[in-house]
Amino acid sequence: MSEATLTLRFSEGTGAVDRIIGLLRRRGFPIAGMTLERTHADGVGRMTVVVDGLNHIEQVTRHLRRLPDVLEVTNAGAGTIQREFALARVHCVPDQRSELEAIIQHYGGRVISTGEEYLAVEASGRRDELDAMFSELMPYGIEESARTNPMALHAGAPATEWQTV
Amino acid sequence: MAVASEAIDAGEITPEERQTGGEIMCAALVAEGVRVVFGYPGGAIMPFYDALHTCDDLYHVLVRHEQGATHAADGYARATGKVGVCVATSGPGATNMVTGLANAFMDSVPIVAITGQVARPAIGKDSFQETDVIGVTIPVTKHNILVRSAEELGPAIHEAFAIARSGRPGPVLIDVPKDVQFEHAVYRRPERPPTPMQRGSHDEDQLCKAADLIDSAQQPLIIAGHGVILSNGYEALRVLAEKTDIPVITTLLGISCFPESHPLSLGMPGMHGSASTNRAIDEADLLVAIGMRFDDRVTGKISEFAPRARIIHVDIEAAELEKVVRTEVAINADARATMERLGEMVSERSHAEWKSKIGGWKSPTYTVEHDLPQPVDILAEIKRVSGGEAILVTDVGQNQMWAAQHYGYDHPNTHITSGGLGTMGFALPAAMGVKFGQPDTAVWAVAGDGGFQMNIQELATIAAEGLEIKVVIMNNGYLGMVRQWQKFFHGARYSATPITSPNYILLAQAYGLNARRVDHVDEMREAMEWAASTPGCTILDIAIEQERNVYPMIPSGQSVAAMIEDTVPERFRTGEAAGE
Repeated sequence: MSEATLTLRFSEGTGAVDRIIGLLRRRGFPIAGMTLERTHADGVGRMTVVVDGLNHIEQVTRHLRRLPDVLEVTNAGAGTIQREFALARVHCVPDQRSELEAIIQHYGGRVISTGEEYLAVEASGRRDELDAMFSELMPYGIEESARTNPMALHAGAPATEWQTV
Repeated sequence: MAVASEAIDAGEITPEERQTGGEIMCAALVAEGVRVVFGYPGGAIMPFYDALHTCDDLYHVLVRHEQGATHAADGYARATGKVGVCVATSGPGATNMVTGLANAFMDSVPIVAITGQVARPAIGKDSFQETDVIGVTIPVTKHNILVRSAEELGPAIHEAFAIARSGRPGPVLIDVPKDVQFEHAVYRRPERPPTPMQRGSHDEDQLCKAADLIDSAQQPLIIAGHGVILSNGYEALRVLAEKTDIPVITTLLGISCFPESHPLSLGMPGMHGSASTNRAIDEADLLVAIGMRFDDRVTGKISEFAPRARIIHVDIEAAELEKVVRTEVAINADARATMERLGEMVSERSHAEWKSKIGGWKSPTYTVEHDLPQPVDILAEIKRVSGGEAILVTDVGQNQMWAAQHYGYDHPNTHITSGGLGTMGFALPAAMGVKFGQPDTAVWAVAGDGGFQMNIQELATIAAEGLEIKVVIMNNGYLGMVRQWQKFFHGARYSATPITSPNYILLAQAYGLNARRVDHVDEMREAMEWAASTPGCTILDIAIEQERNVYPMIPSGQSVAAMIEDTVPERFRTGEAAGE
């Protein structure tokens, strides 16, 4: 099975997120990843959902559109920009700092906090870029990390998407 | 509704115009045209009931269990085409509604359920009679709304009605914390009803393609479902079928959308559909499926369903298209509007050869000689004494299938049943709602001895309200359909299916109702006449053969090739005649 990425805009009311997630579970579309986002519009939430089941993507979107909360569902296929965000605290003794900073810079990340024996990094990028960065940081010892699922932005977005946001 | 408080500040509204949340609930229901609500009070819904006490425009029916309220609202909605309303308190009151909501959701019935909730500060504290009813009912409602302030209450109720009745109808639940019902706010009746959700739109290309397919088909069939009834599409269906000369199959929920005495009527398809109807689907080169959803009880094994047919699928619900079967043409629009357009676009045709081919597949009919009344005869008797004008509300199981097969519905929307969910205990409370919705029409509830006992408490409601509901219990001392499956698929091991009944005559007396027992076929005619002519609710407890099966039957997940046909012993058969 392959993954599909959907972006949704929805009315933020009691149970809206439950309804969306519950529908995907009930209808048998496993959620591989989800990011809840803010929008510029009051009462409107946004989320990016990665679901297993590319073959049934039209069914998924039709079912989601049945929910009165859901204002818009877009299949973020080709032509979208997708990025993930990561935070990590990496074990780091002083003489490792410069080489670690070089790795982080290479991936466009930045050091946001340092201590006696650690270094905290933030980075964003495509999944494969962050995967690569983490694999290079791994040998130093990742003490704690947090990583979002992707958020998607439509490169050539339909005008309606942004008029209301 | 910040507008209201601003209006007070600006002196446009005096504080006296403010109402309690309970009063707003009543006012909003009245504004929606509601006349009757089915409910049961309790702690968290008391302020609403307090307001209801002095609201002359709403008639409250005190049911004996909240499940009964939901089925009654469901029956009312199906019988009238309006939104049915039911009310319960928080916690157990609300959870008792879940089955009825699920039933309405599966069958696309517009109901609004109002539940009390514990006061806002008490939410999430495991308070007395607190249940997360929003969470519990998400999977079984079209939408649900937790109302957070009295100002939101009016708009929330109007939104609930708009959602319940728009597009593909369904149940909507509104959860109202007790302190919101006490809180004051200004309610303003909406000047015009909220814009309903889209009812789909016609794609001219798809319509043309559909009309071409219909014009060129040699062995076409129409399969009409609940959507035809919900959209009031009876006439449009008749016109389309007659112009194209296409035989019409009606799904369980589509029954009574097309007169069964019409020469083009083929009755019900699927698991207990007639052999010739299922053979016709097997041989058809085109299915025009309107307002139906290819339920597994209709299709059986999908890969062998209608193997020669191209499919045109019309449904108001986009998510139903391509859900189960691959279609040649998918039209996401209202059933009636689509049939009206198609009726104009298609050419007049004659399918004499196809129709006679189907006619040739019809099984011979015969009369069964037996001391006990046959289900087919019971239904014929109901039809006779009611002049065929009654609405039949059926339960679930064998009684339901016999009533679907043998009654011969000729009038629109005269067959009401629990289709998708298959809810035993539906018939009796649903019949109450049907009777409130259609007080001038005879209402007959048909149930088995199992399902009748599931919501038997509503006899008290029927007695208290003086409802003229005619109840027929097909009593075989078994949970008959389960027993039938045990017979066919579980080595006739009747595990937990024999069921006892109380003495229904004494029971009826206890409720102040009249009942009769029928133990012999010779007693039936007179008993039916007694039931039809006796005022008020009557109950007929009719003994039927204990191990009578519903035929034909296509086992679950199989095709027409695996159909099991009637095996009534030869010695019982008389008057065998070809054709149905």
